[in-house]
Amino acid sequence: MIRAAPFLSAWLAAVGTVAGASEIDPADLEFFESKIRPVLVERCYQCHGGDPAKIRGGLILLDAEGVRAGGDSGAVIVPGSPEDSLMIEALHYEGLTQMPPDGKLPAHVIADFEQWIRRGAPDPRTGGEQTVVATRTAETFDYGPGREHWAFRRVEDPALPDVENEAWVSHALDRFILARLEERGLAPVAPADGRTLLRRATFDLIGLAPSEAEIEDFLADESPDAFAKVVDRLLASPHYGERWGRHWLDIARYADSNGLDENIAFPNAFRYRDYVVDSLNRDKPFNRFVREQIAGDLMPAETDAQRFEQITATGFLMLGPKVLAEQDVDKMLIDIVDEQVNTVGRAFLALPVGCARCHDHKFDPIPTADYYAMAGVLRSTATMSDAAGMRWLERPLAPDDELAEYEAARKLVAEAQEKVDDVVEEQNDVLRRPRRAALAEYLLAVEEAYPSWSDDEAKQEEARETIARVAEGRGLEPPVLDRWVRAFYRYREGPPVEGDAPSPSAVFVIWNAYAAASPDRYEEVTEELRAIIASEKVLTAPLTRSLVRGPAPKTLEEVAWRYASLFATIEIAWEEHLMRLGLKDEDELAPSDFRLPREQEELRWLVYDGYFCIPCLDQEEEEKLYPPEALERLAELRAEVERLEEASPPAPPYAMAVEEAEVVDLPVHIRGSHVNLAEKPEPRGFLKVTDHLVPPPPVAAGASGRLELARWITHPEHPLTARVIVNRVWHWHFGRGLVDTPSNFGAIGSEPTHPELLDWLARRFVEGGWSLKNLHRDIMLSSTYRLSSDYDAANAAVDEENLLLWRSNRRRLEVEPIRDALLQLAGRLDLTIGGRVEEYDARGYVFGETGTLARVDIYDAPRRSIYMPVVRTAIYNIFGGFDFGDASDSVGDRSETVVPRQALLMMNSPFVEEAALGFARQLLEIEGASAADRIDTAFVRAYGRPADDVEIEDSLAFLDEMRAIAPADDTEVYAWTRLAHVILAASEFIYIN
Amino acid sequence: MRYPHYQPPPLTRRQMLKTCGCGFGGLALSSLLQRDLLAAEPGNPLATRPPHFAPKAKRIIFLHMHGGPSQHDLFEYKPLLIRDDNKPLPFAKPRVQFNETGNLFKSPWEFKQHGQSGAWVSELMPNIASVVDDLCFIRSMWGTNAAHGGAILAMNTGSDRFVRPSMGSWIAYGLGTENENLPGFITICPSYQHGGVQNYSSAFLPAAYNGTAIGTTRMKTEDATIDFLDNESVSPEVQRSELDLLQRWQRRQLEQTGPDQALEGRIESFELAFRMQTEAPELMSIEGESEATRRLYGLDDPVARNFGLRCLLARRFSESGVRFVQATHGPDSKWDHHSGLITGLPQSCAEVDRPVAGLIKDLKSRGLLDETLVLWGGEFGRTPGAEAGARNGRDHNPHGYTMFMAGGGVKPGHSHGRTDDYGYYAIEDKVHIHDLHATILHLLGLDHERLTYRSQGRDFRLTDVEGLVVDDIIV
Repeated sequence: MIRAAPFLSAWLAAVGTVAGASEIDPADLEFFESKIRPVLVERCYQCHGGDPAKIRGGLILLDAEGVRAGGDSGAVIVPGSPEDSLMIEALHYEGLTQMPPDGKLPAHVIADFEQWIRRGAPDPRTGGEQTVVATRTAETFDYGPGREHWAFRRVEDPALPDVENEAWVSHALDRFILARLEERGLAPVAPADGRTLLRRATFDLIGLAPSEAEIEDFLADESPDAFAKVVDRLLASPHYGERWGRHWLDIARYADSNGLDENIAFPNAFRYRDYVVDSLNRDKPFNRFVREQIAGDLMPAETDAQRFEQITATGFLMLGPKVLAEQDVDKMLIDIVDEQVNTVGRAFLALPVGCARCHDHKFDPIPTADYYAMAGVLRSTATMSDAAGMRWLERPLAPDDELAEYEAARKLVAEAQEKVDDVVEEQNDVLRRPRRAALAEYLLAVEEAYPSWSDDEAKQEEARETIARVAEGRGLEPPVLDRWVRAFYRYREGPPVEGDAPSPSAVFVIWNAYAAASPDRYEEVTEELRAIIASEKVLTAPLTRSLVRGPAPKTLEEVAWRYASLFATIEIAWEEHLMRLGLKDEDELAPSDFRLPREQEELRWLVYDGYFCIPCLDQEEEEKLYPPEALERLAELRAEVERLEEASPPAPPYAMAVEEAEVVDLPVHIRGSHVNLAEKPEPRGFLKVTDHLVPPPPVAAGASGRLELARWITHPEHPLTARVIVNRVWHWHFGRGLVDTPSNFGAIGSEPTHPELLDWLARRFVEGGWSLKNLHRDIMLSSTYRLSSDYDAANAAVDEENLLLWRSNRRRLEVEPIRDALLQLAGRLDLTIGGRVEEYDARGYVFGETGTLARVDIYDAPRRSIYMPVVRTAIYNIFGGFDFGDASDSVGDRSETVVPRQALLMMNSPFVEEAALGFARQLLEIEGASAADRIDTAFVRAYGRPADDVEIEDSLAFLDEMRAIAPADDTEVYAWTRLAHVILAASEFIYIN
Repeated sequence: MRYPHYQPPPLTRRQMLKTCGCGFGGLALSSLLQRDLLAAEPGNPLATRPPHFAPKAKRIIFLHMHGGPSQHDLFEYKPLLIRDDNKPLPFAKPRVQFNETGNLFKSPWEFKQHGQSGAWVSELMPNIASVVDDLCFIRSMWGTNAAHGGAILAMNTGSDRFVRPSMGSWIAYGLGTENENLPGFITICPSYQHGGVQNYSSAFLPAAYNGTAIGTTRMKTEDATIDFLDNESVSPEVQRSELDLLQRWQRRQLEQTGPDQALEGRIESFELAFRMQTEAPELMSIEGESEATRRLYGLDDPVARNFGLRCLLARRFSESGVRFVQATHGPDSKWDHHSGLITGLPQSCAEVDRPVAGLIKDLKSRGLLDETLVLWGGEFGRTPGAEAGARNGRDHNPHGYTMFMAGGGVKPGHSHGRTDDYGYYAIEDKVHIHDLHATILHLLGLDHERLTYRSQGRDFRLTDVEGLVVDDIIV
């Protein structure tokens, strides 16, 4: 039997409304469902629910019968009469029984129960609540009605529609568009002029503005296939992959850091990004592209290069934000799987599969059982190499022999280094042992020399002399005493020490107190110290508290000796500890073993090697005190380390990638809770809603099922995959998909505006070998694509939103082409393809302010925007300003907002200011041009068209105005920069018609 | 082509949200659409929107104590914790803990009762103690995530697992803004850690409702600015000239293209931006504040000054109509006293005690406290047991902790809920983070079940599918 989940909500509970509901007054039903049921489920079922082992007081509140029957104490409600109902008394905590026992319900909830009973306790639940909590299994789930939804029907092969205006048709797809327009009595507007079309196509395919020469060439080319040649040229450009790769990265929620709770860098994410760019440039068939991203590591490969490429592709599954500090590792792992299931569903199938984690999908035919079948596939796949240690999996991209060679070389380096360390340790010990033995002397010497020390550098020279004198007088080492004095200065005068480090000041609270008082007050000081220790308001190291037990000391020397003997006990404890460690197998030792219990460690830390060690000189200084033979040995050993370092091959590249894990079938997690599991595991598998079209590939016993998942998704008859990608491409070309919700083809998503066209394109796409470049050609060579964006009042009266595509949609560019174009106009754009912009600390934190990844200056690299690091939680402010999104979620349609922040960015950001300056300089460099010519060129470069007379006039007048107030030494650059700034800020620059 | 008689057609709600999220952060671009259209569409998110019912509060200021303050050393007086000091916790610890904790650890600091209400406050917060009769303590807060990132995300967005809109964004979405020249949601010196921007992002809500960040938590407050608020290269006069030319060209373009909402909106957005860059800096300057006010916020004390300025800015923004102002005390995790409690906690308290009390007094004397809800707290509390190793720290504890509110329709001098005798688990009148959110929305006149936004095929809420309004604390 399934137990009721402890935290069930009203919303979920309402899903399972069962028979009996119809007899109840709708208002009563609403009241019960919204006010009573959630509380019963959340606060009562644990002890009065379906699990017989847990039933308390014989009371079962699972259904109306149970409520009426009451429990061991008899009836719990008297319908209509709350004041006579035991339940209400218990809820008020008035009598012997107080319910719920873990805390009184809020007064308004109790009032709800009173009202419910007053209403006669209407209750729709019959036959036990289990039916509500349980999810339907795949066998009992009725997929039939769901399969009627358009997106789950077979992709049709529609006939080409007849149209009246045959002359307008330049591609078969135009027939589908024109037929709908004619049906509504609409006529397409005129085609776009050459300049507009070229600008549109160039930004569309490569995300850059056309050059002046490209514009000239196109306008001069009168051949009928002039535009086809442009499209081919652009598709062949390596920048095509950057533009369309960036679209795909939106879908893949690509980022260079984890985001969420622990924003750690993904230093190798860029390999996935480069893989995407390269795959698109090579026009890798889309079905293969999908398979590689889900199961590339499991696909056969002919060469190492191919194998590494396919491993890198699985970065798709790795890139999600993870709650890395989650202390419950089981929860972390299932949450990661959930993120993957959800992303796979949204990206490839445009289905919000994730909704079925907690309950059968509310709108789409996805039972929870199907979700867990798919989740099992990904749970049988390794994403983390060490979940508790926040380490995700990274796989080497090197052949096994190279890898072995590298590891062997590293081992030799490590061994040689160890020999160096041994000598250093041994020699340092020889030097430091006597310093520890002289602790009392040093403490007393500190007090003698301390008053001379100061923050004032001018006085420090003198202080050092005093220290040297005191040290020599007591037979101590001057540099060591110097460190003691400065340590005390820091503890006494500095800010309180916080954090995890042992507090040195806590160790010397007692010393400081005695040192500050004259010995005749030591009795009082001892009393005061005891009081301070008892109050715990001042932090004292626990072991030092024994120093004030027993009779008060008489002299400071005595205090010093007490400290010395305390530290001596630590020295003994440490030696013993090391001896015990020596008996253990070296491989079993962890760094934490080299520590004493914290209270002892707090003292040891201050006098032994390490950051906090007081009597330890810098290594360089210590080595000056080494005997010559040790120095010689050390030099030899270090030379050997260096030699081995040089001989070591470089570290192989790593990619974020998954691998197969131990195979497991997951049971349904009731309400999505990983601690509340159904009894029967669901066999690994896929969504069954498409079983009528795609025979589900059987999952082998020892395999995760990822390869089969990839095959299932890319099956030619899959009703979603091809439709989804064809629609995405359409969306990225037109600014609106044939389905306006590109990542949701489910019941809540939009219906296609042109269902036949969608199917026609999808079929053609699959039959033609899943080529994206052919799809671009189909779309762009149509008359539809080449329409102008001219307004037409008559058309608008019928179809204001242009759903039927009587004109082209004017669109704002995304932030990447905006930024790239600004750099381009400033003559600064670096068109290098691929690679990473910045070396980051592997797995280092990224904070935005200080993290390596997010240092502001790394965005200064004039590389194309796709190569700018995407730091979740601290998105580059230029990106953030223009709807880049947060990169945590698969995004199929970025927003296109118009907000004042963008105006501020254009007006005030140093980036745009610099671009304007660069643009102005570029214009001024044109030789022998008049001001009007330069203005004309500026317009061509920025907008793809020459300036008209008014604009020239305006510009000339503006330049004069600016010259009048410009700094004398830089008049022209200043004036032109201001003009360039205006040209770049204008809408025409960031919109394509 | 010209369209002299052109009237903009009404936008669909979705179009409007998608393309015209006209906000600098989130503010009305009122002249984007004609005013009568605004009036004709009451659901328009760009303007001030009426709440679902009469609100108790108009604005909220959330003082976030990053790291998780220890309730045991500040507001939770538990005689049994004192009696059983250094003994083991007499009941089970949670299944999943962040770190190992040892025996019970009574507070080293003294507690006294204060005011008419008799609320217990430790000696570390003398100024907050002086205003307890204005405070409404919730002593039974609870959540589920024991790590900072998850807990802070839950506190700010209701979810520790998904990217969801923040509370401030929901409120800006629900109510619009009171001042069209300012964002509806400002966050002063937020942390980049532990969720960073996600803690004030609008996620799938339109960008209009994004929180506008001023600086970051590690900064001196004096140095905190809003991005792109001024251009050092040009004078305002030159900028105006540029703008005049720009607008002339853009209007001309609009005449040529025919009606286009986005292009029109963009023209208006430049005017608004120009106004904004005048108004916001004025608000961020405290020159006009009296000596007495400055002292009230502790600006004369180098220890309290940094957070004092954040609180004062919070008041200035709030007073000017910003719906949701958050001020984060930092730098990062300043209250995360796993160790160093004995020296660190008094320091953190000294930094916020006067500013927080000052803010409450100041709002009260200006007659603003009634309509301004102040919320103080961290992402969780701390354990009654000492963190393993030394009696100098406490571990994270999301299972029971204390926050307080003031003003804005909550009962003054009131205490709600209770933890167990040692202050580990909330046991009575428990208030989950979802309940807190539901209550805050309720105080602002919003029904948390009706404040929804459809995304990815589902109607989302700040409170997910949970949340009960805590009626007991409401006046």
